[in-house]
Amino acid sequence: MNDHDRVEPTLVNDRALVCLIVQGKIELFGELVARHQQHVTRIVARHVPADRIEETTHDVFVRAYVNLAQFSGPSPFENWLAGIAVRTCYDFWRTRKREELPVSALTTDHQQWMDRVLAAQSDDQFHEQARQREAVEVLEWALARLSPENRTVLTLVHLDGYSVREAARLLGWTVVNVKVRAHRARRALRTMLMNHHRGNADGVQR
Amino acid sequence: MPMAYNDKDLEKVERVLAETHRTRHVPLLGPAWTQRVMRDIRSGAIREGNGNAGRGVEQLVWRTAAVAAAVAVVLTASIVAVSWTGSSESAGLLAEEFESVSLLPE
Repeated sequence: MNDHDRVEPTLVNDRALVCLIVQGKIELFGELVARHQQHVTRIVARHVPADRIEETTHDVFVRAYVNLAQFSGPSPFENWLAGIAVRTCYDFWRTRKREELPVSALTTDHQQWMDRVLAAQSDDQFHEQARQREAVEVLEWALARLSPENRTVLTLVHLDGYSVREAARLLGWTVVNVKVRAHRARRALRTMLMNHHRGNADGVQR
Repeated sequence: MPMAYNDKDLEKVERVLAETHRTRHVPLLGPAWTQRVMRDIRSGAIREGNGNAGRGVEQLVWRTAAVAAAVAVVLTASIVAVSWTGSSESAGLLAEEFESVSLLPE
């Protein structure tokens, strides 16, 4: 390689880097990984269990590399990569049987936590309850009882706060499909919380 | 029996769960992780290269097969045409033979 062929990766934008990588300069992919690692990890951390974040983020970048030639259009590379991250997380849940990731049942501690949430008056009390161990456990308990499709849509639309259109773009699904699933998933979540409150979390529609 | 949640209660629980979700811990993936990604990409690229070579051979085989099939069709058609012409000629000759030779005394 002569001096003219050398590329200073940090001076090149994402789109130009992608072109160079597709042309065979594989090592430049490391620069894309460095630039977007945190963004992808943040997305993945919201969708998969903590002990699977590393492995799933790894899969996102390998999948991005394999499909790199398909990156085109006016939207930024970051958005394209976010779509791959979300779809990889969705595949994570699709390929795993529910029994493989057991979630413990809720106890009276969780019921008491929900009672404290309802009693919270100030913002401080509200944020305090969100930081509690029980909050994470209730969230995991509820999400584990949803189908991979409903889980992914609920996470994107109701928990992450993406618009239905944006979630549809990330998943590569139709807007109508996401809208229907978002509605069903939220209704299922509410039914679970109600049933648990009544002391019977069985027979919930998934 | 506890009182049923109303919509407002459920919204409150949902809001807390959403905040819990947004404040999930995001781990920092170190240089060792990046090296693993790049190592797998390099080995994948090598496999892809071998795969391309394999695909080249496969394409050659299929192209050869298509040419061989076309040649076979042309040969079959020409053999059929020739044999049909031959048999019609034979039939013609035979007919001529019968036409020219009369078995009855004149």
